[in-house]
Amino acid sequence: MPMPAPEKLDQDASGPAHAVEYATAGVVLTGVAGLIHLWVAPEHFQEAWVVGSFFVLAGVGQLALGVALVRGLGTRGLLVGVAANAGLVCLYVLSRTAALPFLPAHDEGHHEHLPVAGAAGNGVPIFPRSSIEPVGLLDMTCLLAELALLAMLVALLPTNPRRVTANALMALGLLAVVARAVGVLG
Amino acid sequence: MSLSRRDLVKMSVLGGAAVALPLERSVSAASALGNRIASSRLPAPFTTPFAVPPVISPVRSDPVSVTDFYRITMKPTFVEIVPGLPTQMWGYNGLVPGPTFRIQRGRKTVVRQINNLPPVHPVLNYVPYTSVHLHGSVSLPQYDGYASDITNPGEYKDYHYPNTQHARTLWYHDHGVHHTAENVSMGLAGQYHIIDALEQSLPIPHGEFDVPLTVGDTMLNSDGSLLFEPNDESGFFGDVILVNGRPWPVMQVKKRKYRFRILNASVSRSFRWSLSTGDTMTVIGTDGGLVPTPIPVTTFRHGVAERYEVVIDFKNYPVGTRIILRNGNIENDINFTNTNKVMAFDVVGDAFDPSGNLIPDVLDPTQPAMLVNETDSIRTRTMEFVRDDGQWTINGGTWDDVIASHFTKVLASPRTNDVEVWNLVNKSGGWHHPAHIHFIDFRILSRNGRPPQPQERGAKDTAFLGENESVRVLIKFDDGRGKYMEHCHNLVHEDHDMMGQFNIIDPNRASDDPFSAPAQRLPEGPL
Repeated sequence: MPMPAPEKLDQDASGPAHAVEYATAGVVLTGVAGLIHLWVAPEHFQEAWVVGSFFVLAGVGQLALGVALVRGLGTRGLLVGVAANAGLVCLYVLSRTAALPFLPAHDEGHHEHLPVAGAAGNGVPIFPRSSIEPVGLLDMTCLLAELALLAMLVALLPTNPRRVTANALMALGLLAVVARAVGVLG
Repeated sequence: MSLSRRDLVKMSVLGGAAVALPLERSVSAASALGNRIASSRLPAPFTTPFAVPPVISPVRSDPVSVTDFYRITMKPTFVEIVPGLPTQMWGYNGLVPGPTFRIQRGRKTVVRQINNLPPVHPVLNYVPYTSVHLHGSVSLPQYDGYASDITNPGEYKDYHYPNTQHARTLWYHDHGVHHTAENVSMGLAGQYHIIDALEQSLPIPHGEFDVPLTVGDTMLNSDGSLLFEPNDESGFFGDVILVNGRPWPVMQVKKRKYRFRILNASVSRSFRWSLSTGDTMTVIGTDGGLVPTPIPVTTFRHGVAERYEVVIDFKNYPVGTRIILRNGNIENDINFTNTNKVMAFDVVGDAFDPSGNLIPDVLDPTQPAMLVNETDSIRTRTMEFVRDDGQWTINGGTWDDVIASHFTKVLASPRTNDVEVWNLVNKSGGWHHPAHIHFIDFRILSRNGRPPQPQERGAKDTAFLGENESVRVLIKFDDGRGKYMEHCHNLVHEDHDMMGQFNIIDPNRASDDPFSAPAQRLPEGPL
C-alpha cells in the first residue's frame, strides 16, 4: 500500500507523531467498513431500494475516504470524514435501539403480502421490534472499524480541532446514554 | 502530538455507547415479552364478577320483507382488565365482546357495520380495514366476510343474513385479510344466536339460564396496552383468560341446570374443559346447532372458533360451593400460571324458575348435515394443511395465490347439492389447525380412522385438526352457489396465509360475486 507523505497531512506545529501509522490504519479501517457496506447492500435492496442505495453510498464514500487518506487529506476533509462516519455510527445505534419508521420490518416471521385492492393502506401489522435490526457479526465488525477509524481521523487533526472534535464525539456518546436512560432508545 | 489519553477516554464514551446500547437492546429484544405486565399485577382469578353482553335491538323492522335492521359501529373503547389500568380495545358498538344477536329463524337481518376505527392501529401501524364474517351462516358470497372484501376506516357495509338454519350459536368476527388475528384480539367478536320453534319448545334452559360464554386469551404490557406476540407466526397465546371480556370471572349460579353457549374466540388457544369436581357436563349443541341426542362428557377439547352448548347441573352442590371450570393441557399451546383455569361458579340458594330444567333424550334429530349419508358422496378430496418455507398453506397454496389469480384459483369446485367427503390432513407434530369451511355444515365421519370424539357428534363447521391427524368430514353443498373460503382458524396462520376458496357451481344459475356489494364511504345512506 502506498504510504501518504507525512508532509501532505495538515499538521499543527508539532504535527502528529504517528501520522503515517494513523493514516495507514485509517485506510485499512475505512476499507473494511466500506467493503462490508457494499457486501450487504444486495440484501438491503431486497428490503427497499432506498435502503440498498444508502448502503452503496456509504460503502463507496468510505472507500473514497480511503483513497483520500492515501492522497493526503486536509483538516476540512478529515472533519468531513469524522462527521460522515459519526453519522453512520449514530444511524447504526438508532437502527438497533429504536423503531425507525422508514426502515422495513426485519423479524423472521414477517412476510410481505400482495396489496389488497381498495385498501386505504397496507394491512400487514408491523411489530414494534420488527423495525429494530438485530445485531450481527458483520455489522458489529463494521461498527468497530468505524469507531477505530474515527479515532484515527481525530488523531490526524491539529490540536485545536482535535480537542473540539473529541469533545463533540464524547457529547454524542453521552447523549446516547442519556437517551437510553430516559427511554428514547432501547 | 499523538492521540492523548484524554482524547481516547473522550472517544471511548462514544465507542462504549455505540457498542453497548445495541447489544443491550439485542439481548432484551430476544424476548418480545420483556414489557409484559407482571403476573402479580394481574387480577387474581375469580375476583372479577361475571357479566353477559347485552342483546342488541334492531333499529327498525320491515314486516313486509320480514327483515330486522341493525346498526353497529366498530370503534375504540377502554376496558379495565387490570383494575385501574385502562386498556384500549376495539368493540362492536364499543363492547368487548360485541352485543349478542337473538334472531328468530326465518326473519332476515340486515346489519350495517360502520368502521369507525382509527386510521392506523396504535401500536402495530396497520390500517384496520375490516370484513365481518358471520361464522356458521349460509350468507351469500358478498355478505360472507370474504377476506379481501374490505371496509376501510370511514366506510360502512350492510350485511344481509338469511337466518334460515336450525337454531344454533353463530358468531360474528372480523375477517380482514392479514390482520384478522390482531383485530379479533382487539375485541372484534360477538355471538349471534338463531332460535327456532323446536329449540324454544324443548325443556332445556332458556332465558337467564341460557348463558353465552365467549372465551379468549390476551396479554398486556405494563402500561395496560394489549401485547400481541405471534411467536414466529405459530400463534398467539395470552396469559390472561377472558370470559365475556372479564378476566377469570366468578358467576353466581342457582341450584339448577344452566346452558352455556361456549365460543372459543381465541386467536390461537384451544381449551380442554373439565369441572373441578370431576362431574359430568352434557353437550347439547355444536357449531351447527342442537345435537340429535345429549352427549355426557367429563372433559372435552374445544378448538378455536368452535361452539359447544353445554348444560351444567348445579342442583347437587351445597350452597357456598365453588366449582371451577378448568382448562387442561393442549399440545403445542403455550401455557402460563393461570391459563389452567377459566372461571368459577359459586352456588347460591336463591329461588329460581323451575322451567327449562331438563335435558330431553332427543334434541334435534333433523339437522340436515346429520342426515346426509356417506354413501351419497360422489367424490373425496384431500386438503393438506402444511407449513411450507415459513408460509402456511392449504394444498400448497395461500391467499396471496388467490389474489394473484384475480380470485379465480379454487381448491374445489363442487356442484350445488353435491355430497363429498373432504379429508382434512395435518401431517405436522408441531402445531394444530382448527379447519373452518365457510357456508356449509359437515358431519365428522372419522378422526385418524377412528370415530369422532364424543362432543363432535353433531353438525360442525370447524374441525380441530390435531397434530398428525386426519379428519374425514361429510359435506352436502346444499343450495349454495359461489365462492366461499376455507381456512385455518388459528388466526395467525390464517393471516399468513392459510386460506383458500372453493366455488359451488350451480349449472342453472349464476352465482353472486364476493365483491358485488362493496363498502360505501361515510356519511351513511338510509338503512
